[in-house]
Amino acid sequence: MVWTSTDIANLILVGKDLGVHLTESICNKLDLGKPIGQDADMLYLLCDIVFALENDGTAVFDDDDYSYFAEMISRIEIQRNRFRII
Amino acid sequence: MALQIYIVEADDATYFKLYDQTVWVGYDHDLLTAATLTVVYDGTTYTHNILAHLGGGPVLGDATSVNMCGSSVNSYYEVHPHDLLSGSTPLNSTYFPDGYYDITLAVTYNAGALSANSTQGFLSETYQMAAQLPLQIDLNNFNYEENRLQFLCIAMLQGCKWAGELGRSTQFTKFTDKVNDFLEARDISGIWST
Repeated sequence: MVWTSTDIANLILVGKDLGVHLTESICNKLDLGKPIGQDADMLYLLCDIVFALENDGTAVFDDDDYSYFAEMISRIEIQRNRFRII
Repeated sequence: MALQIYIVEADDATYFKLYDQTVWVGYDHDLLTAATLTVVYDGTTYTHNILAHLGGGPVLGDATSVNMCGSSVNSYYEVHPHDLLSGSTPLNSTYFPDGYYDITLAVTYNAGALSANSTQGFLSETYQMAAQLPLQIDLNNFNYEENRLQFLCIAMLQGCKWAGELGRSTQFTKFTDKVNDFLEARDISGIWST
């Protein structure tokens, strides 16, 4: 896939949207006194991915890198659905 | 033409930067007859007349371009809390309180109305409070669980910011409350709000 600046901007939005869901899940689990291990790990990784995508000022990533970021975000979404409690 | 804006809060919360990312090439600055910023914060609507602030006449630019926020792509227009008025009451005198802000720039160009909206979670004070977290780590008696929780708090702050940017006001409030509970439990108090 050839990644355009619009595609990358949309990927950042998808990542942030998923981050909001994960943060909400963590808040709910904290309120319920449940362990948050999986969600926290996924949020940490997501923070790293969004940071990378937002700070690509020198165009260090190629199309394969962006596809890999997109796949990671997709996997995090799948994991979140597997472990979510709400 | 689509009006596009970008907002960045200053680290010390004394102002926010308004970037105008609109492609104004080919537009005459004389035809821009109104530019008003509207900010909704905590249920109250505040406005600021940019055109009047810039001198009442046409905004910066020439017959082929409009430079509302300056001539460079990195130029910005500073909006201070005392610039934003609800009637005659300013939003604040010195700093922007942390919270959810719904910001709209409305302009009139050649008698046509254009507007752009941006929702933002302003979190400067919370960021500065959270910056004090590592001071609570005792290197001689390292608490791995506390270290992990502090890292989580910083990640949740990102969640707060993203919720603000995506217009999720309910989640923004919920997350910031959780982060502030975390900070208060560690006796970290407000920098300038207390």
